[in-house]
Amino acid sequence: MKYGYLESCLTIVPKLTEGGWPLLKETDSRYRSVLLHPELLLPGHLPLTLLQKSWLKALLFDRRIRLFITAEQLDQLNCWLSDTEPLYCQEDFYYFDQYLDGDDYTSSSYQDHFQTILRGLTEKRALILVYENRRGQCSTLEAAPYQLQYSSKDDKFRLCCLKYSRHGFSQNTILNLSRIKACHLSHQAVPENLRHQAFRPIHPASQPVVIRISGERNSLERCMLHFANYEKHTRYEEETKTWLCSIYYDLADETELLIELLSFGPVIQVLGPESFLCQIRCRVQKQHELFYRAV
Amino acid sequence: MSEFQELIKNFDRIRDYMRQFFVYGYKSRSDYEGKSARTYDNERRRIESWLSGCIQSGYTQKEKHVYISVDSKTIPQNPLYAAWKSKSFTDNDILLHFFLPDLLWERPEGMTSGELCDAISAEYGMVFDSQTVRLKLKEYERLGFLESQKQGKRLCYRLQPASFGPAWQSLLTAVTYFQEAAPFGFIGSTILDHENQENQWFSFKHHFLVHTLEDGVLADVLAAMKEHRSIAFENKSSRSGATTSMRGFPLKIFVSTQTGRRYLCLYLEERRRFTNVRLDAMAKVTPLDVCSSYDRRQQLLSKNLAADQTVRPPVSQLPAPRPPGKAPACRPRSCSIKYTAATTRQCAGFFWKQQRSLFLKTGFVSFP
Repeated sequence: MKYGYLESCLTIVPKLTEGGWPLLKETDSRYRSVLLHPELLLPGHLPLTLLQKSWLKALLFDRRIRLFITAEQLDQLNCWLSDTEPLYCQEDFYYFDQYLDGDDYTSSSYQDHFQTILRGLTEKRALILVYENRRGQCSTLEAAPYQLQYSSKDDKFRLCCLKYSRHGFSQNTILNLSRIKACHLSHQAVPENLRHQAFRPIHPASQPVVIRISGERNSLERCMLHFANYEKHTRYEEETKTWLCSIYYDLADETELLIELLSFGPVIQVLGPESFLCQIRCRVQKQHELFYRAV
Repeated sequence: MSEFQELIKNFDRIRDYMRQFFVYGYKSRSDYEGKSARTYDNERRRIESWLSGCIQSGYTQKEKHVYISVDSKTIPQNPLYAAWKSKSFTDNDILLHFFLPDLLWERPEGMTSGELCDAISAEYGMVFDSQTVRLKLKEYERLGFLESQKQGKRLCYRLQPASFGPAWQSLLTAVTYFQEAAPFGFIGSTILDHENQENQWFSFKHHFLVHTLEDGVLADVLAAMKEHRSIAFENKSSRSGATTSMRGFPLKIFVSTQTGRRYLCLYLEERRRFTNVRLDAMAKVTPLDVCSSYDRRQQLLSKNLAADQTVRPPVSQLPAPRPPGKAPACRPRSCSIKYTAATTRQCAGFFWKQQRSLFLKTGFVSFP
């Protein structure tokens, strides 16, 4: 049952078959709809509600909407929703700790690249990209896209793709969209199992990071909220009156997680794994040398 | 004892349990204070039914605990949206939901409530009270599903046109993105359900799924902001658990993309100051009178926020990329702390204290 819940069949099926909801009639051991126009249940036949239109109207004022629709289409949509009030205004929200070097969504080249990537995703075609790395060097590569990843903290889009190497599309890569200088569709077909890459961690760590939370200075709530976007498991340890939290992460995010853990200072203690602890010690040592002297 | 119901009438109770399961997850049955164990069992069973793929359980020395654990990058849609789609309904609600559009579909000129009652009886063999049908028609007109028109003495109802405007497919693709990236994303998910579509292309990092549980409160606050009204609400402290009543002028929603918290910035008239209140601590928002000096308060807040802008260089003035081999420059971030020489020294001193504790805890170095 696609739109129901785990126990929905326990209530819905008896209601439909035993007459509580006379929406079906039984004929020759088959159930058919009693509706005169069952095609109404198909998409595109019933109108949207005021609330849904109001939300769509609010989206038209978001600066990212131009990644999906042209200026002409935006005017047409504004006309279609002219008698609808937006549900909220962009100015009602202030993202006070978002990084300022986010992507430039108003740039026409960025919008063109975004549209090309969307076409590559929907038409299952590879992309030929000119990409500038962090050292300012440009290179041309061919990649099979399978996902677009958005980060609200960085205000950036990233392209998750399989880069072409000698053996085909095999190297899992993440590219910043803002560093793409050119983007075209390729004639190469993408691998058939490419969809399986979507919504999966790229390199899941074999062991979770385990931290002990002391509870001082509201550290438990701060940690639980801060790491809410990670898969984690927390339990209370009665003997030490502390909490043990295991955070499951992707190796691609290891450095970021390390920095986030360090930002909590002395209210947490990282217990393992050992490779993670070594990285923490190296980073703390470098930080100390930056400020003072070599230990 | 009443039978277990999978669907709910009141969102506030489930909001609290869902938040506890998702954000904390270590509490067992006996740790939930304030409500009976039977209430915990019912809410837990409900949440397990809604989120069957995301619920996990573990055992401590004394009891079992249930938690929601999901990596936001690995899911196409926020599973907590299920809570907004679980409103209970009666048998009449579900039957009229199908019968009324089915009959009105082929009658673009509309039908009165009496004609609809007769048609339902003739076509489907069901008899409804005319008052029930009239109330349902009014409800659907309020929702924007139907429209009414006076034709002489007759009040006729008809379906709103199901036109989706130009560029509908492009807009739907945008909806698959914004249903996670924009406020009130669960509304976008209902549009995708309506079109039998799902998100296939977008994943989300640094995405705090739990924000959707506050959308009810957020809607009330934004409505008051639009009408320039003050509000009264209850604020429950997450530390002490104490509930206090507050009132003020809601001005702006402050969102932290790093810590997962959202705040309401409001002006307290009695104290003549701004204050921030966590959205997840708010409940029972009640709109009050319209404020004539609302614009002045907004300007005052904007002036404060503009002053914050002066400590952040605009993007065009960011330093040039560093040559290879050099340590990377810090990424500019919007921040409300103004750095002076004194605060810099304070920060360095605080940082040193933090690092010292870290050294000791990791056993890296000992101090004489």
